[in-house]
Amino acid sequence: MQRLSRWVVNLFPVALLLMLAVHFGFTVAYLTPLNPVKLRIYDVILAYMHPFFVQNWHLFAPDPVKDTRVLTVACRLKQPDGRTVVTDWVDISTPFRQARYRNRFTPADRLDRPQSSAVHAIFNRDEMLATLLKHRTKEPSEYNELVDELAQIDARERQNGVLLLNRIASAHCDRLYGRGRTEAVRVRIVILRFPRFSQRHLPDEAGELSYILLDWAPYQDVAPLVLGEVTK
Amino acid sequence: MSIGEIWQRGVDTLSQERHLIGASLFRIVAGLTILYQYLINYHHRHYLYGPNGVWPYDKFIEKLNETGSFSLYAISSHPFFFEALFHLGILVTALWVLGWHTRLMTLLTYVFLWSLHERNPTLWDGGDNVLQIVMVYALFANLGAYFSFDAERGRRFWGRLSDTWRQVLAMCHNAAILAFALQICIVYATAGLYKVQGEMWQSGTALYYIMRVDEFTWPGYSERVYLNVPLVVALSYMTVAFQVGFPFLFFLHRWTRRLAILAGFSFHLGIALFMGLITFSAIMISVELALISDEEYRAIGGWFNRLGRTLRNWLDKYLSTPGRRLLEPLQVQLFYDNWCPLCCRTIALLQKMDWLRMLEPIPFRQPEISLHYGLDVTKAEARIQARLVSRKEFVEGIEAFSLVAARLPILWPVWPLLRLAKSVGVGQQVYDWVAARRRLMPVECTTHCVVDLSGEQNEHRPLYES
Repeated sequence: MQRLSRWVVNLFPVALLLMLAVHFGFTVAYLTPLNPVKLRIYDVILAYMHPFFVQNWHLFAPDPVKDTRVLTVACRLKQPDGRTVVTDWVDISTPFRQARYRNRFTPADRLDRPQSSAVHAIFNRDEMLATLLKHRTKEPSEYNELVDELAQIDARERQNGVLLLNRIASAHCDRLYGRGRTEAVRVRIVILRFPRFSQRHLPDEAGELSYILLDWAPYQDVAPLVLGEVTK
Repeated sequence: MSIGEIWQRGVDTLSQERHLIGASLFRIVAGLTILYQYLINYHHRHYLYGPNGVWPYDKFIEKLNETGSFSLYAISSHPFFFEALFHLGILVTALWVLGWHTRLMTLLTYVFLWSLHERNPTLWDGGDNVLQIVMVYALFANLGAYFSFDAERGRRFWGRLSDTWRQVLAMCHNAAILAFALQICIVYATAGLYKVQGEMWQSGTALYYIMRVDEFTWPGYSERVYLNVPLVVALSYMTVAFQVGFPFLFFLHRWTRRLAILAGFSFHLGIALFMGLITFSAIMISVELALISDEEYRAIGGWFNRLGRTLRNWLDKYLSTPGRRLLEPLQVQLFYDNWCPLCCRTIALLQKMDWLRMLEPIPFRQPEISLHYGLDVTKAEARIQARLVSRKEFVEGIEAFSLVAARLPILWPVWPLLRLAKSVGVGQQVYDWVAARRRLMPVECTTHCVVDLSGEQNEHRPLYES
């Protein structure tokens, strides 16, 4: 028994080192840019890494976000007399950001994140997918099937981004005008391309504004968003 | 020396647990960050995580099925179930921070954290991603050796283990800490290498754009940085150099490792301040805390002790009487239970940290104390009592600790969390739970005393009347 224990203790470091080598080998393979070897074993890499070791370290890289994006919402409200009225655009991003400027320890930080995530999901371009799509084969192939599956996932992420924006808009319309009044919501993403580095002394107003207008979407019932003191 | 002897020496080295203090600090800082995430949006939990939350429940289930993941929140969409699970997550995390049955709580904290992250994946950033991964490694580490309820229990448990198990567990712990280091190196190296490919990072202007974007700016402060050309360029290049260089600095030499970790702290403190990414920075710092060795912590502790003594001596010598008089009204009288070993140890620790001499600890078990100060002993037995010397009103429990933390410079970073816990309403409950489980040992006898162990903890009889 003592001999067995000695064997266990003496060989255990080898087992641990092997486990570390395998785990971090997969991690490095997962994070490297697309290459012929990775492409061949991509299924195996994904099977090991997903879902518990999913990671993405594109932290403001290759380039950081370079414009300010603000969400505005318009609500189509039912009036008591049966008419409907469309409200003006209301900025639902800036109050959260201003709360963060006043106090770094604020609930507004997480409340703003679904908005940023949704906008990111709509704008984000998966570079790996773009590269894979360029190399589609003319004939049907397993490669094309993999690429099509990834393209579908990407499209679904964008649709989810739009759905999320509509739910956020619904919650804000309820907050602004009272629950039960909103029939439909519309989101407008305002993009401020502030002055570039060479013109850094100019104010934001000197930048360029552009808009992305989403379609009217039916109201969705979402748990109340009570801001209270958060954005005062 | 033969190969066998060299191998044996290596195994013996690996069988000593290392970085125990850092591992415990990781538990505390990461745990407090998770608690902060739960509590800061406590009043918005239904909107963010509830069954009718902003991320729809059916999409949540769909994604779990797609990815093969799990979440406790998927068991039921009933509102009562959600409330139970959310509050259980807070309790489990609090127990993890306190180091109660740490190994079990590490697993439970991970399960609850993962479940919460899966419930709404739109809320999380790079720091949360790092935490999800290192918590898996943490399952194999000993996070409760210091600053925990487990510390004493752990020593007894360790003593009962066979040599083989002790060595195996120690090697697992060391491997977990190594995994922390490798993961952090991978994070920095990958982020740095992707930045190197970016045009704005290459031209040294990236920090201008990051600090000007509404989401990450800090009006009144960011402009002082991004309008300063040399500063923007230097910081942009230093960011890339730090990230790409971190793995090399970390493994090259102990001094370069210390430099890399120190640079990491500064980097993340800057991010927390200027970009408002508080939890991201806290999590990264918590992982880096685990990478400092026990010997280094003891050296740092020794340095702080010497600094504290020097500061105290300086204040005693040079702070003039009028100056002292200014501070006196702000001093706090702290009424503690001198029958409680935990309370006595806590008071001793607070006194060591009391550089400004702002605390006056008073043991309340002496009968004359309650009369003299108007103290309600029944209340004091339930919760520690405190008051400003200039006022008659007492505060208790977590409020008393909050008063104390505001007066000890080394506890100033903890003060906002105590206030937050109190405002949400969980601080006092956690305090009460801990206080109810403290052991009492009557120590007021002057000669021979008998301690009654029949179940009534607070009773004692002197052997003879003095």
